[in-house]
Amino acid sequence: MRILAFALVLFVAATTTSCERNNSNPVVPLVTDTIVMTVSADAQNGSFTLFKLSNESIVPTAQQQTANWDMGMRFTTFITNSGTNGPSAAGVQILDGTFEGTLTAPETGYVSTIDDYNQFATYNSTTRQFTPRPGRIFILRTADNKFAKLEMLRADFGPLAGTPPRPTTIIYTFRYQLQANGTRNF
Amino acid sequence: MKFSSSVFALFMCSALTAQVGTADTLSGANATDVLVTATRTEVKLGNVAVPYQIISKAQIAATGVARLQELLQEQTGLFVTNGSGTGGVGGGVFGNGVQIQGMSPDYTLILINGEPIIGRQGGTLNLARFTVANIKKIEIVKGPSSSLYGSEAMGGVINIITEQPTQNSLQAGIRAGGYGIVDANVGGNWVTRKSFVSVQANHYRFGGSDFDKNSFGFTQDPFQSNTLQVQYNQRLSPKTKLLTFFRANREITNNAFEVLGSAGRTITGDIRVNDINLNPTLVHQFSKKIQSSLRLYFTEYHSIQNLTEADKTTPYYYDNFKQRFLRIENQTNFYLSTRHTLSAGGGAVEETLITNRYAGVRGNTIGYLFAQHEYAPNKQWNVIAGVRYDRNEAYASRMSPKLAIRYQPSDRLKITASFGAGFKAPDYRQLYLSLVNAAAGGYAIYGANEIDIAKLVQLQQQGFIQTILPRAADLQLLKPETSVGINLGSQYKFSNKLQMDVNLFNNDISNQIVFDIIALRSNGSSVFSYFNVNQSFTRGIELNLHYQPTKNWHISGGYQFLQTADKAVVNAIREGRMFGRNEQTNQVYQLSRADYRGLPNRSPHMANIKIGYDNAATGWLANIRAIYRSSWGTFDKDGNGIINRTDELAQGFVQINASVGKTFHPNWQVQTGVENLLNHIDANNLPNILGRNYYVTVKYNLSIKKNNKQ
Repeated sequence: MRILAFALVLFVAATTTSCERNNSNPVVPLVTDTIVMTVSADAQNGSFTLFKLSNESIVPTAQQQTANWDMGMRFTTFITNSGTNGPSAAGVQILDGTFEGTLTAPETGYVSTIDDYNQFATYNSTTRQFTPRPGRIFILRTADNKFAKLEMLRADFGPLAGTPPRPTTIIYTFRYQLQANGTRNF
Repeated sequence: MKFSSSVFALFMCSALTAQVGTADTLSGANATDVLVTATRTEVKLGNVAVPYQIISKAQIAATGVARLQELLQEQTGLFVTNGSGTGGVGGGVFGNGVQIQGMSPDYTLILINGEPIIGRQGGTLNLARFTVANIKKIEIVKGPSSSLYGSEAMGGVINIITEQPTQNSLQAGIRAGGYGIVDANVGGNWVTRKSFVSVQANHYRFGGSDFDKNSFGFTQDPFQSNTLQVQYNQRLSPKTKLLTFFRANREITNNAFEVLGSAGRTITGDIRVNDINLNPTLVHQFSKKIQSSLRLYFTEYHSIQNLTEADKTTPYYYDNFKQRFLRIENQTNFYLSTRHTLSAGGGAVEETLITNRYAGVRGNTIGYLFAQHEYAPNKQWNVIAGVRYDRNEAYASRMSPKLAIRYQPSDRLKITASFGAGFKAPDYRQLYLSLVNAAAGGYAIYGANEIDIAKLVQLQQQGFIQTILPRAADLQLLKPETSVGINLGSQYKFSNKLQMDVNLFNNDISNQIVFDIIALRSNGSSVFSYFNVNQSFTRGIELNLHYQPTKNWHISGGYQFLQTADKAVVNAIREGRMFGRNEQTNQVYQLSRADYRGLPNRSPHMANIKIGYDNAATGWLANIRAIYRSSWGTFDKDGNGIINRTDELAQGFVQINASVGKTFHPNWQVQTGVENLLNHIDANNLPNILGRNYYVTVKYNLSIKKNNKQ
């Protein structure tokens, strides 16, 4: 019985995916861009650096309580415009895969905040290197309910200061594709 | 390709020459010699059913080395690796440990005369603490042996057995060489019919190495060590004897380094280590068939590290670490018949540890029982079965079985098979660490017995913790790390001059303890604790050849092929969930099994060739030893946490050591040698290997043959 039920789920999943593939129409161009955002390394008091994908631009921190941004970062915390972070219903989740190979955004499974950096990066305490995990693709549901995929390419420490020396900022580099037509296909 | 060429080289080496005797200086031993470590009874080498290696006194003397690590790194399948703290705080802060069969140094149990050495820091026991002076032999048993030794005997056991004198003598020796190395020994033995006293002292000094003159500090910090060793044996009655072993070691390492990432901030200071071992043993022969020993063992390891920053008054780092271990143990051997030998015993251990990294005094009490039965129905077969049960307060109890079989169809061929279980108790930091590291960004680490959800919630209410991560729900009493090892071996004597040993091994390791983030502090730093998570394996083949063409010449070759992997990584690769980033194109690609290089710090190929000459008639002694190690993984660079790129590997290398010596007038010996002739230096990955250096040793030995018959 269980095998049968599982097979059925697989079948449904397969047909759904293929239907969506067929429906997806590459006529609407994808917004493709790179984000370079310098974020505060002060996890406690620093303000979030906010970004809006469709504008391809950083949004002033003062606008955090508006629908005018999609995602933000502070230290190693990744937030979206939802829940306690902002007024919209954005969300994020991370999938395994290559950027090019990720073709569909899941329907469910989005969270408001990712605060465990292990999900997307590794820190080597010996070399003090902070490195994005390859093959971890952020799927973002934007504030206006569009879907985007992002890949973190770099995470560089800004200047070190203090005793012991800690980075004052972290510079994250992402590339992303925003599907502006509202479907979940890239 | 590398595999086949090395094997070919070994065979070539053996084919080039053609004749032998059994006793020799370079391979070790006669079949009539005994091994005690494998069974804790004296077993003739010919009957040993597990893979082993013996380094004899003559062999140690021939190599001319002074410290244990130098000796071990020349042995087939042993890999001396620098400690986990390297790089951050100068070279190898926790010293150098040894891998056996690709198992981490944490899993190698090191014994002196059968008693365990303590003082592991960061899991590693620094081998540089041990002089090789006055060692009778070193026995190395490979594969899990927790059925006899309990915790830590997962990868293997190295037992340093000290010399017991048979005649009055005085010795003195001094070795001086490059890198400011001085090794001085002086000792004396006084032997009577019923007793002996042996006193040995060693002073060792290392001037430090510095392979990067542009940066402040050393590659390997200078240190000096003074060791005193006293043995006293007394026959109390014809059937009873008392053996006492005492060792005290005092060591100072001078630290000097620059804070990583901040040029100009220099730190200096030192680590002072004092450790002592005291081991009285009472042996009584109740009858021809029953022998019993009562062993008492006390050891203490005390280390104080004190670091200060230039132009600062407050200490940069201070750690006071004091570990004590007290054990009482009985072992009784029943020689039931020529076919059956039974050994049984039990003991109790009291351990304490005081450090400023833990909240108060921490300790553990362990009780254990063990039994072993050897059955030898005839000359061809013997079977050894054993089991040990360890019970304690701090972590889950453990049962460790072992089974070993030897089959010897002819004088030429011996086949052995063994199965054993090993475990390693969670160490004190994994249980009791309670550290908020203000010096490195304010992260916090708690031992598994120091933290739980309730305490995290409490810390959250106090504002110390911001977010408790889902991982924290998995916090529980740690289980010991465990392994199951299988060894299949064969020894074949082509002639009296040529012998080959082959051993296949497979070690499955479970419940490996790793740390993981359980919460985030309000300042954004992480809070860590320990979990039983990883599963991995090490497997491979070891090959040894001994060839003695004439009485004076000996040639040996050894090779180990090793495969290791973390099973979760292998699964993730199979499921297509592991990716890497190409170092040139920065392209992300899905990893295949072939891309995964296994556990870090493991060389797939290791080989050695040793050629020795020893002529007792002329007093000349010479040897040349070549050690090869293929490339190994250092640390991840592309963020996937595993070794998959060539820039994550350290370069393989060949090291050649040689020495030549002459004994003059029986009392004097002069030896000179060179270490690392090819001058292979890799400051980042091999801080423990010095550049080419020469040394000279002068030894004086006065043996007084006295008529002790009363």
